[in-house]
Amino acid sequence: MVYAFIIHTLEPGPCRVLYSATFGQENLERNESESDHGGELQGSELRSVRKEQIEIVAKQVHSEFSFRRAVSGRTFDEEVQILNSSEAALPYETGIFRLRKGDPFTDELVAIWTGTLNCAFVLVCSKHENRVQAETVLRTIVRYLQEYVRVLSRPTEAMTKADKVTTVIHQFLPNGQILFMNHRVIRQFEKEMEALLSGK
Amino acid sequence: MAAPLCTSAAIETVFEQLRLINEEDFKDFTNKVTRIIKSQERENEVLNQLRHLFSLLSSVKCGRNLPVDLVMELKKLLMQPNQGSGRLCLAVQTLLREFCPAQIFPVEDFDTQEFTKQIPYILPVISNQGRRYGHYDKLIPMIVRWVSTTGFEIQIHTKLIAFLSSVIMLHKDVLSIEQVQVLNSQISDWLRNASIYQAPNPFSRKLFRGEQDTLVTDIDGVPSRDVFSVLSIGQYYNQDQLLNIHSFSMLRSWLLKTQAETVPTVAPPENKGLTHSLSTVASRENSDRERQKLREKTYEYCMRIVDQCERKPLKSQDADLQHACLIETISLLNILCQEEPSMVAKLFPTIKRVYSQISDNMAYPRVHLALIQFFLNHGESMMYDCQQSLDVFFSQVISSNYYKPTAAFDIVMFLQDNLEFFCLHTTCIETYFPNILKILAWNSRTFLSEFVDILPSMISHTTAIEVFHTLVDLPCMTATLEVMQKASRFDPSNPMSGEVVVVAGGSLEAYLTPINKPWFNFITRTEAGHGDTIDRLNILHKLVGDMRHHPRVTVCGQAVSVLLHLYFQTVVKHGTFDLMCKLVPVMLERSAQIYGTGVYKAEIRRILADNICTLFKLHPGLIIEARTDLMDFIGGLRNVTDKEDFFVHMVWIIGEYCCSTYDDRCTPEIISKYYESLETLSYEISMSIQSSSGTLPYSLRLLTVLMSALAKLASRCQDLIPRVLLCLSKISQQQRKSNTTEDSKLAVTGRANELVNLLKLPNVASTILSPSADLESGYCHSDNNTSLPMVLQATTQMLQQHNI
Repeated sequence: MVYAFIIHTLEPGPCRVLYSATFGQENLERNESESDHGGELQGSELRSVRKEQIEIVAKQVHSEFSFRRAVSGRTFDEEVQILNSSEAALPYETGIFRLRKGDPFTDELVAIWTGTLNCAFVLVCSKHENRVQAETVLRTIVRYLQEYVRVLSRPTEAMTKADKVTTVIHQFLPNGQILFMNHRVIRQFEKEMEALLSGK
Repeated sequence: MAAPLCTSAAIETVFEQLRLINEEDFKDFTNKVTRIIKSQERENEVLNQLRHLFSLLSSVKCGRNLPVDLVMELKKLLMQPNQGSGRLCLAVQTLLREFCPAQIFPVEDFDTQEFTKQIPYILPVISNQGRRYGHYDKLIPMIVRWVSTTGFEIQIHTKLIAFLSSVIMLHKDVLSIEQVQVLNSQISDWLRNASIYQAPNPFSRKLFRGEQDTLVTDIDGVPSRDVFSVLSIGQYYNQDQLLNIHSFSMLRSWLLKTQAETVPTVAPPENKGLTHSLSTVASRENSDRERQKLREKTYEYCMRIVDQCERKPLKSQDADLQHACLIETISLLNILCQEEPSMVAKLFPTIKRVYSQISDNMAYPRVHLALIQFFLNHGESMMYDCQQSLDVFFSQVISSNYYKPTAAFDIVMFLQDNLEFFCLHTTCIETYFPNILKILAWNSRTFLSEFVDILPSMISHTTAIEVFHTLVDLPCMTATLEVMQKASRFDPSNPMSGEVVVVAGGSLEAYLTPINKPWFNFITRTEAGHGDTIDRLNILHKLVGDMRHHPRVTVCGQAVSVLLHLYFQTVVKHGTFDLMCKLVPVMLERSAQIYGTGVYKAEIRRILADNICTLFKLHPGLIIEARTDLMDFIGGLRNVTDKEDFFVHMVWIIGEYCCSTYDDRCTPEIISKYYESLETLSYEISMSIQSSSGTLPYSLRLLTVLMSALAKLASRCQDLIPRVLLCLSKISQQQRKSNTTEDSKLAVTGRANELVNLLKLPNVASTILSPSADLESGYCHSDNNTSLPMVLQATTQMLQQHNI
């Protein structure tokens, strides 16, 4: 099961989270030392903690991607040119890393990411998730995000038109479930998604 | 042409504008949105406002709250049917999910007559509310009931089951045992009973379907009457088929999370009435029965998938799905066998068959991993010797896949998860550590913390020296692997085309030249035990010299410092004296031969220097055992160039530990020999400093440490005292005539004087320069009866009294 889906920026420039969707809310306890009494965190505090956790993951992906770009020898400008000439040939970097227990999430999780230009897409999954299928689903989602939201060409639309991103997730990652979809299932979901996006 | 909108400048501008809004303006805006929603304006207008509101809310970490009446309007939009299109509902959902968890948004019940269509949009919001604000205690039983009632609201079942699956991941105990049983039974049904006919085209306008019902096909296009599964292809799918897909997709995490429920951990109460204990027993039996049925259905489904995976898919993108399904199936079978060990015998032939199909194919490392995990967990009960499959994995699978980020991750996770097994039952990690380290050499940044866990298992008494060499040479391995990857992309029949071009004298040319094969083969070997290192390692270092500053190599260097520290910690804690005797000469040798940038070399030498002191402190006897190598080392001025700091440490060690109080084998002959080497060296260095102008060839620190060492040695072997006095005064004279600053001259001559004066009182000198080994315990300074300060105080007082 996927705990979170994140879209954020890559280098050049700082790491900015453009869109994040979590599929569940942990019960978090307050540290005894931080207040007079323990007890569960309240609504807005939970929200802040959640956003901080997302940011930590995004920063780690940001740093991994910078390393990959450095060793590949490609530059951002070269990739922009490829985007303008033949989008299908855009090179993507992909990676996976571990998020240890407590850092930053309560349970041990795994982050699967893919990115190009200056936009990265991350799935934060449980340890027992089928990573091969998760990578496929992530690629499918990125493909549709670019097709219907133009997220690589205009990354801020992930934030200003966030409902479109939610629609893609609604179809292909329902409540965070990684589905084993064959090409016909994907096609059926795509048609349903098109209907939703056009406002029917 | 305008600047592209994907630049960071464009993105930053958008963020700044969103963050500029102050609290009052935000409040005004939220009021405006509330008004617009209430007055039921055109959907597009509402949509735009909602989008803007979301951007404002999500661009800051906290501090922007939505007023209650707005939230109530949003709740109405979301929950009541026919308020807007699906698009609008999703916009509201996006907004509310960002805002949750919030107390002011309770969703406690559903009137299914009205809300059914809306439920798929509401569920993710409830998910984000969490257990308390989402009122799971009320909602979950309701959802379980819907899902288990046949035919009830079937079109939303897929969403409901996905919701339950995600809830149970984070809140394991939210379902009662009975609810788990109900769901077990339901999932079994869905796995087995999906229809095998294709659904009609929902987008077609035909009122009459002239065609017959068509069967779904297998992945190769052949129509099939066999059980429906995720690999069955139809033009369109109906609900129960989609439920089948959902069930399989959530099956693994469901089995894992509900596993504890099947094992009765509490003994049946003995004192309660008969009826109670009967019902407890009955509930446990039921739980077993439902669970057993689920296991059977899972097993059948898995066998079906294995069968379907042997067919060749019509569409290449389905091949990826097959790959994923095969891995999922093997993992599921693994879990089934863990729950019910009696199933192992039934499954094992299938697993072995799958393994024999892929064992030669290095393109599927993750299938390999799933299979080997199965063998490790269950092979023993079948008397299966998995050594061969482990050998294939550790040698070929790792060699072919270390540079693929996703496969590498799985391999490292596998090693970490099974580390205990590997250490206790096999020697795989020790045998194949050079191959395993390739993963770290390629992906140092990602896997460093994992290798901190794995490294100690690689170090044994037989492998320790080789591990040391391999670690120090890890950047060299990285450089070679980079060159190898480049070489694989190089087309020798068309050398000037393509991205890879051979530069004369460069590493790629060296790699492609056959005569250099032995060196490259060594550094990329898969197994340990064929020699700790090779002769003329410096040749290899030179061959890949141009890769020194490659980012992958420098990042690897950073990882090595961490691991080298860990290496020494492990060796110090668990190594024998024998090992230390072997390690010290190797450390001396390697301090001169390191591949990498200047920064890397300096860092490694620093680590070596610190740790060699630790080794000698623990085992001062090393000064005797390693004396040949040590004397060779300090005998050569060439050993000072570039690594003066390390050299200084060695001189200090000799001065400090060459003493009979540490090891009674330390005879005057040995002390004299060390003394002579150091004395010659001191003269040479002093001459060199004196005759230089401008920057000094050697630091004065080296000179002073040498002088102290000479004095220490002389204080133990008093025949040497006349010689050392001569030496010190000569050096002192030479330095007075040198071109150094006044302060420096004072420092050197001052130290020389101190030592000379001290040595004129041989017994005092030996107490101060060669104290007993337990000096640092503080005994000499704090013991009431024998502490030195006390004695000195007493002596001074006595002398004063008698006016001497």
